[in-house]
Order: sequence, then C-alpha cells, then structure tokens
Amino acid sequence: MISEQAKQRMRDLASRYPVARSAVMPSLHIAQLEEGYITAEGLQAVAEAINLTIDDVESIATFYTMYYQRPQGKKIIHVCTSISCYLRNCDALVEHLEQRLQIKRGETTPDGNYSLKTAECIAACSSAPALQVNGEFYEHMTNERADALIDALDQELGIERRV
Amino acid sequence: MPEEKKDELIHLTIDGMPVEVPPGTLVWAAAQQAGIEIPIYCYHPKMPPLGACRMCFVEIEKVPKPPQTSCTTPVAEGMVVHTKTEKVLKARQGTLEFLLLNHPLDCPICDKAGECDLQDFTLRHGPGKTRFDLHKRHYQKPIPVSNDVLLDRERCILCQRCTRFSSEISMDNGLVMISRGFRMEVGTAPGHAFDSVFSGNTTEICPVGALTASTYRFKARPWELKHTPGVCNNCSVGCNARIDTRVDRVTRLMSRNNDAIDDGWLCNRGRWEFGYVNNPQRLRTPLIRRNGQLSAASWDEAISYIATRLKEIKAQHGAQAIAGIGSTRTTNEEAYLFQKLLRQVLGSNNVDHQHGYFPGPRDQLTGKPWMMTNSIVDIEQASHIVLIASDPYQRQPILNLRIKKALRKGARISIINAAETELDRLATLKLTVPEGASAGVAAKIMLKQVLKNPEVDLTGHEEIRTLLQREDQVIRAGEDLFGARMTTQLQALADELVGAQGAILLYDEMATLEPGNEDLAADLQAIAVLTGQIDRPGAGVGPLFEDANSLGARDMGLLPDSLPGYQALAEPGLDYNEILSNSQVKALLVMGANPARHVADGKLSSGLELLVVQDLLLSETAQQADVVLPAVSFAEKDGSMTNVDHHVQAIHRALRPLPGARADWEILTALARYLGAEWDYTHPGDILLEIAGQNPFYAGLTWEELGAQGVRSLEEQEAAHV
Repeated sequence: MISEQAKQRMRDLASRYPVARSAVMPSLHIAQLEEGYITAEGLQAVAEAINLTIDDVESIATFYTMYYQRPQGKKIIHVCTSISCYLRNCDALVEHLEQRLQIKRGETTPDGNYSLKTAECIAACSSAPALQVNGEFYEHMTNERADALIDALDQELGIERRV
Repeated sequence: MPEEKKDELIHLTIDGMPVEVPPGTLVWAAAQQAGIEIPIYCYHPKMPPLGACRMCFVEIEKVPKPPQTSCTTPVAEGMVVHTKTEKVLKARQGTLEFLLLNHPLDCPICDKAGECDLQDFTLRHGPGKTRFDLHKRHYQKPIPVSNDVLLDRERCILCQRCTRFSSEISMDNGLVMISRGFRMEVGTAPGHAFDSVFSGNTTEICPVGALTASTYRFKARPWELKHTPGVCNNCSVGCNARIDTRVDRVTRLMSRNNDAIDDGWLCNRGRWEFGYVNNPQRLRTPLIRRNGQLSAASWDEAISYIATRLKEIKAQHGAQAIAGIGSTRTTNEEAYLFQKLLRQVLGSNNVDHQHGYFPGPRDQLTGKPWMMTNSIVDIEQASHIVLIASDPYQRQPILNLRIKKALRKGARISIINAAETELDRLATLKLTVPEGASAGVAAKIMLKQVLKNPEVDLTGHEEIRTLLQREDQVIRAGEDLFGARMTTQLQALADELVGAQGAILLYDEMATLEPGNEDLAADLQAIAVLTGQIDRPGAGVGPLFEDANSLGARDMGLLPDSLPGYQALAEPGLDYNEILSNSQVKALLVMGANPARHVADGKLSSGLELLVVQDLLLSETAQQADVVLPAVSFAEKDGSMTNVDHHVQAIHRALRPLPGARADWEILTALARYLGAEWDYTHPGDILLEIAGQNPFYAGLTWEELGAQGVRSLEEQEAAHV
C-alpha cells in the first residue's frame, strides 16, 4: 500500500520542479520505500502524482537497477565488483556470501531476510573490497569479516542458525 | 530576394559534391538532398535526432575521432564530408553485423520483407556473412502491445522510432523502452495496452518487422501491392494516404506526407477502417421493389423506372413533393450534380445533408460561410487553443497531433467539454460542463466577459451587446450551474483571448445540435471577431466537421437555403429534419446517406411514394427503398473532396469498380439524361470545371491543378488575385 502521506510527498516533490516529470526518480524511491520494491500500485501512484503515464514510469523504473522489480530481503547486500574491489578479490567474497546465505547473486533467501547483489563502483576503492548493507558501508572485507557481519545481522533479525 | 537567401545558406562538400543547405540542417539531410544515401534507422524527419542506431556514420574532415553520426551533426560552413571511406564502410558493416547477431532470419514470413530497411541496407551496405555461429536469442513472439499492434522482440533493432513517436508526437507515452542494455526491449507497463488511436503509425515507421498491424499480418507481400495516391475518407481532416491494393481489395492505407494537412501521420481509423470497401455484402446490382420485395434489376430498368415515377409524382403533386438528401462522404462533383439534379432538372430546393446547426448559410457578423477560418498549420502557430464541445482525438484525430505540436511550442490548451477527453491530461485548463449546463452557455458567459473588457472595441458591433442582453437570464442560470469558480475561470479565459498573440477556437459541428448549443457557432464567431482572433496567422474560429466531404457538401449547395458558393436562396426548401417529417414529400432521393438512423423508430415516412437510395451496402434506409442503386467507394473513383480547412484534394481510382456498381456521378448523370437533361460529363474533371466556373470558392481550379497535395482555396484569396 502506498500511504496517503507518501503520495502527498510525491506531489510536493513534483511541485518543486519547473517540470513535474523531474520528480519521477525521487518519487519512485518513495514508492519503493513504502513497499520494498516497485509494485503496480507504486507505478500508478507515481504516475498519478506527477501526471505521467504508467508506461512512462515503468520505463524509468526498469532502466535503473536500484529500483527493484521483485520483493527484496530485509537486508540487501550490494557487493562491489568494480575494478578496485575486483583486484582485491571480490569474486571470492561474493562466492563466500553465496555459500553462507545459500543463494546466488541476484537472489533473495526464501525466508525473505537477505538479498545478495553485485554492484558497480560504490566509491570505496581505497578500502576495497567493500560492500553495502541497506546502504551502509562495510570495508576491507574478508571472508571472516563477512561471516561476522552476517552473524551480527542474523542476531539483529533474530535468526537462529544451526551450524 | 533569392540572392539574399543564398547568402544564408551553408556550403559544404559531400563526397566531392558541393551542397548548399540552410543552417541547422543535419549532415544526413544534406546528403539526402544531394541524392547520397546514408543508411539510417533511428532518425525520422518528423522527430528530433537521437543517434541511437549507429548506422549513419560519415567521416568529416578535421573532426577528431571519426566516424561521426550524420543524423546528429549539423552542417557547418566549409565542411567536407565523406560517406564512402574505408573507415565509414567498416563502421557500417560492423553495426549491421551486430544488428544481425540476434535478428531472426524469418524474412520469408515477415510482413516487412520487401520494404525492410534492415534487408535493404544489408544488401547495399552490409557484410554478406556473419562471424556469429552461436544460438540467436529467442523470445515469445509475437506479443500484442494492443489489439491492433503486435510486437516481435526478436526482430526489433531498438532504434526507438516507435517509442519516440509515442513520447514526442502523440505524447501519450504509451509505448516505451523497458529495461536497459542487452535486456532493453519495447513495451508497456505490465498488463497495459498501447491503445492510442495513433498506434498504427508505429507499424509504418518501424524500419523492420518488429511492429506489425494485426489487420495486415500475412495478408500480402509488399511487392504485390499497387500504390495509389488517395485521401482518407473517414473524417473531415482529409489526411493524404497511399491506398495499397492487391487483386481488387484494399489491404492497407499508408501515410502520404502532406505538411499542410496530416504532417505525415494517419490515425488508426484512417489506416485500417476500410472494411466497407472490401465488404462481401456490397451491392452489385440495382434493386427494384416488386410485390414488397427488393429484387434485382438492370441499370436501364432501374433508371427508367425512377425517371418515370419522378415525372408522375411531379405531375401529380408538384416539384415541391420531391426532396433529396445528399452525402457528406461523396465527392464535390457528386454533391454538386445531386443538387443540380434536384434544383435544375426536377425543380425542387428540398436539398440537404446531415450537418450541425448553423444560422443561415453564412455567419451574419463576418459574411463568411461556416467553416474554420484558420488553416490546420495555423493551429501549431497559435498561442491559445480553445476546444469547446469538441474532441478531435476521437473525431478528427490527426488534428489532435497538430494541437500537440502547438503544445510543444508552448500553446495554452483550454478544454470545455462535458466528457473526459484524451487531451485533458496535457491541457492548461479543463472545465467540465456540469449536468444541465451546456457548452453554449459557457460560450455566452465568455462572450459577456469579452463585451465587458475595456480593451475590446465594439465599434460597429453594438448589436452583439443588445442580442446578448436578451440572454441575460440564460447566462445567469448558466453561471449558477457552472458555479463561482468555473464562471471565474471562463471569464479569465475570455479576458486572456483579448490579449492573446493568436487564439483558435474550435467546436464540433455536431455539438451545435445539442440543447443549449443553438447559438454556439455564432457566439464563438462573435468572440473571435471581438477579440481580434480572426483573419491573421495563428488565430481563427470554426467548426470541426464530421465527414470527409462535410464542408464540400456545404460548398456545393447541398443546403436548402443556399446554392453552390453560399448564394442565399430567397425561398429556402425543406431542411433535413423537415424532409424526413413533412408528409408533403412524396419522392425522396438519398445519395450515400442513412437518414433512417435519424428518425424516431427508424422508419421513414409511410407517405413516401418513391424512395431511391444510392449506397454501397443495404443500409437501414436502403432496406426501405423502392429502388436501390449500387454505388462505389472513394477507392474506386476519381473526384475531389474538400477537407476541414478547405483544402480541395483529388482522390484517385485505386481499385477496379465493383462489377455492377457505378460511381454516384455516373448514376446522377444517367438519371438526368433519362429525365431529359443534356448532361454529357465523361469524367469528374468535367464537372469540376463547371463548378470552378460558378463557385467563387473553387474559381479557377482544374482537375490537373489539384495534383498530389491539393489546393487550399478560399474566397478571399481568389478575390485578392483579381
């Protein structure tokens, strides 16, 4: 459900730009924040708030990879795979996370807790390899640090794992 | 003057050939003008350049990093362009090889094969073989993007012509690019149809077979089609169209660019609704009612029967017992002959056709006949466009694109309508006429405000104030219905028109028939005159007519109160409704009209002793007729038609006439001769000459002069020539 407040925020955004269309990207972020991903209702809400067609909004929502087309986990892990992180063996890091979470990159755990994604440069080259969890940076990653991170997240999410 | 212009031109050299073009011209267009082909997919002359397809490479001297895309590079003085260097040819071949990686080789069953840019450019510019020996990508195909248009994503080369048409031209943003990179495809929002009335244009501008029309799929091979320049018959815009036929059937209509009318586009109604031409139920022989049943008769039999009965009725009841209802879709020549038959041969002024309500043949204020005073091109120059009780998107669709062109140039669009319209979304102002009120009252509220405006010079028009004062009660009641807010908005709009750089007010012809709209035409005309929004570029007022020759029918005098050329008659004949209700009418001739639809129970007067109907199909009216004469469609005859902005355009025979059927002008000529008139027309061109000799709106026109794009003829222009 897109709340009335969210729709109002979209309308307010639209009125702040000389051309309402400029508000489409922040509005999509609002829709995604509300529902976790871009739903048909989210598209509709954005289209109505800034007077675009639903097709127009869909075009933009599918162009940018940070708008999710499917439900995502509570924790979205973006592992950087650009050049610096690549040279610092991000491949091993991604593979380790795949093993640990039992999902492939691009997938979400069946319990809906984690999504594992790879990303282009997240501007943390000096501390490669790096990853983000829900936008927060974790740098100088090693397999051990990754395990510790997942342990901490598990705890936060209240997940009991049998080793 | 030509000397001066020459100085403004930019000089460049393309493949060693000197070329002169106006500044701002793209290198691609300059080469085109010089007769040099540069292959291209994404560019379309009616849309801004994009540079997406990477096909139009050229090498330009002194420009670093060759090759350049010629569609995004404007010409510059002294530029030296090469289109056939090794670098260019290699780049083109590379692009083509990439495009063909995933393009299926299903040309044998592809509608586009034979008129496909990918085929043609591969033949002329491409590599003959591929280095790609892996599996091509496959998608489910085709998938419908609407009921009319199907998408084959395997064939798509992602040039974005279709999606840019949707965003730039039709501005409905219904067809879009989905995803990006190698996943990119054309599409819509999930579960959403691209249901624009302009969607058919995307199938025409698609350079490959990715977008195809459901009505044309697998119907013909392009090389089997015969192309005939024609004019669409489905509304009053008169879009130029190329009629494609195959073995006595129309297969499709394609656009035939006329900048002054259609700007290169066709709506779906124009493109695909020609089913009646191919209809197997078409009448192929005259029918005469015998013992209550319509049965086949020869042409001689039918015509002589009609002539005899007409003479009998005239002798018994007088000429006033004869009436005629003409068509809004037949040619000028036929409309002209129809009224000539009634008036000169039979002696009756009871002639009319179905149309909106206009007080008299001419507007009293300006003395002009009722027609749009501005041209279609004027619409795009207007600063204000007021659509009152009109919805071009549904009724004159291609005008909607012209209005959107004005919108892109900054025009303010105001819509006054009881219903929702497609343009509401883009309009500056939409006023929904409330229940019980009418567009007519809205016009009166605006006119009242115009009269109050201190900047309006009323000299010579004081009578408008007197007239409107009589309506004060109606206006007050209207203001109550509209409410304070909308009334203020209407008044503000009226004031805006006073100072507007150029305003155009358009109403639908048929809306004038609705209750409360009796004065709509006259009041809007008054607003335009008082605010000075008439007789200058980008300004005007007028009705949007319904049918392809609605205006021509008026011009030709298919009116009870005027002869051809709007020469008023002192004693008018019966009008459309009177003809249908007056029991004095004993003989009724109907040409290409279906008045049975406009009488209460669908039954024409039982007092009729003779009902003659000329039509393509056995319409409701024809079913009640005593004699039915099979006519031919616009695709089977020559003639001229007059569109909404008074372009007189030629239509040409694209098909052999259906055996047994005749053109209306031939039928009328035969009948007149049976009635003793000496009519010897052998071609519509002969009739046009006669029209041109009498009708000041057609003065000097000849069949040959109409050419491919028609002539916009107006009385004023003719007067200025003399």
